[in-house]
Amino acid sequence: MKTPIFPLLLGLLISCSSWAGQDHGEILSGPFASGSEVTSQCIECHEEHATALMKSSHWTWELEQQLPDRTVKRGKKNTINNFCVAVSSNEPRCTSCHAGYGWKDNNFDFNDMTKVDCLICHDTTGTYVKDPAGAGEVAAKVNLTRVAQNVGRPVRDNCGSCHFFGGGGDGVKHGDLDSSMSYPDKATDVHMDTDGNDFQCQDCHVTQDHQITGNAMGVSPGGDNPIGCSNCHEAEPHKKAKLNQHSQAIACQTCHIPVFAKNEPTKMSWDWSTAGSDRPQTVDQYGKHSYMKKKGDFVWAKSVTPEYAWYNGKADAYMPGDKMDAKVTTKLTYPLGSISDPQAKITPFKVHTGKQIFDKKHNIFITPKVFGKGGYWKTFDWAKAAELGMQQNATMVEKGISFSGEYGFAATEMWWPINHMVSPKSAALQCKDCHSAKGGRLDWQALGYDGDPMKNKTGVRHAR
Amino acid sequence: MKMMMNMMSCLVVGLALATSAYAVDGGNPKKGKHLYKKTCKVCHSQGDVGGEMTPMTKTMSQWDRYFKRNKHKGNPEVFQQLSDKDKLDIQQFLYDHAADSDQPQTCG
Repeated sequence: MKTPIFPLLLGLLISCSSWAGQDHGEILSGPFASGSEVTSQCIECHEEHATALMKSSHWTWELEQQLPDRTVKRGKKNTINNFCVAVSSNEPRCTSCHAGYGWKDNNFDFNDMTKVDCLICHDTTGTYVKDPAGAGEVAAKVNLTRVAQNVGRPVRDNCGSCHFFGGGGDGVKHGDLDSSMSYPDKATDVHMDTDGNDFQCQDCHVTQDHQITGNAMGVSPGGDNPIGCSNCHEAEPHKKAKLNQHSQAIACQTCHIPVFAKNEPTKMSWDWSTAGSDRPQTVDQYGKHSYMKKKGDFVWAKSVTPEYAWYNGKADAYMPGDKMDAKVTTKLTYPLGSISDPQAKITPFKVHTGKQIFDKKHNIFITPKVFGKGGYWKTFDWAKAAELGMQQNATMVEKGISFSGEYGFAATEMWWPINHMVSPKSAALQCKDCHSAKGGRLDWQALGYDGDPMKNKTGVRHAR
Repeated sequence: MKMMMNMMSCLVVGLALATSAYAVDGGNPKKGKHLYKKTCKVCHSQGDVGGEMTPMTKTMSQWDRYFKRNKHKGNPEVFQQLSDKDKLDIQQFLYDHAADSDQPQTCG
């Protein structure tokens, strides 16, 4: 049966013009005293959209997922990272990036639809901001009526308001996402180049019913990632057969994202063990803090060459309460795969290193309370911060773990896949960048090869 | 003397009203920052022919007056090539980060 084309075209027309066609200025007169008041109006017509959003991890901050040896519920809600360590007990600060209003402690009502923050994603005025330490509530200076009257489809600025500034500042976490991606030029990102393709985030992170595809390894190592270059590009896109052969063992990103943090520096290391000293506060060559009494030592870097590892699309992670060994570096999140895994490809990563507090008796990582009353940033007392943080952490309470009274600092790593900041092809890696007599950017031994496989023809090869 | 004072206060109130009546609104300052860097900084960076210009070069009301009256009269084509929305966005950015604003900026 042929599809009648007229209703199809009509449907398309209606769906395309749905934002532009509806003047929200006529419906939403305001004034609004709070974000929730706006939401109450939104859901008069958009209840199903709020319901859908409430099923997504932008709202729940957790996702049931499969790690190699267990099924876990994991997300921002309970992840231990090597930045500010954990959301729990630090809510009003961390939850300023929650797509909701008022998550200030464990009592937040995840069933209250009026707490959904529609505007953080749908503001088109560029003036909507959340209070940085207000549990997701709107900053006082925002003109809510104007923002509500001008809602529309998200642009990079909307997603970026959290995803470019996670970890408390511009470019802190990802390395391939920072404020320069709001309006990037071609050299920064060929896909999002404002004078070229001008892709918005959702052009690749395809979204249906408010479920946005894509999962960050830090929070969802077991999450699906149906986004990939081959969704748009052919599997063998190069003219040269040699390059197409390479793509069986090497991720596209490896050659096409030769460096990350192209414009803004990213944080590469955070050492909490030196916090609390009266050493003077210092800044580095980028103007970023390199020592702060509250937070310890930082290392920032710009135009960073990634680290490379085999990655088969799956990852593993440290879960709260897992035993750790302070004598070795704990990988809090890391990619899975090896040279003998046919599904794995050599993939670029930002590796963020840290030194963070752990319980010497229980041999687990501690989630300290750093923010707010009794927090480390006020008291500079690690024992107190550890005790309060563990008491207020629902996962730790559920597991029956409390602070033993003895703490130390142990080394950690977090692996962040590099997927954005794709360079123009003229800047892609060349043969010699890896296959060089002087030693290129790949550590062949660490990857499981006997040496450069171009020269060592009889050595170990990638399983295919 | 008293009359003088009254006249002065009328003038001050009048000026304040006139200034607030200008206050630009409705532009997208984030888009404006991008457009400013892309279109204005080409000729207005340090050492350039147009002389360095940053949001802090003018006060909020000076920026509003500039967009209302001057309109880049030294080279009006530049302004004519920009859409009204783009100009509003640029004006909003400059206004929001002017010398006397809450967040003065040199434009990073």
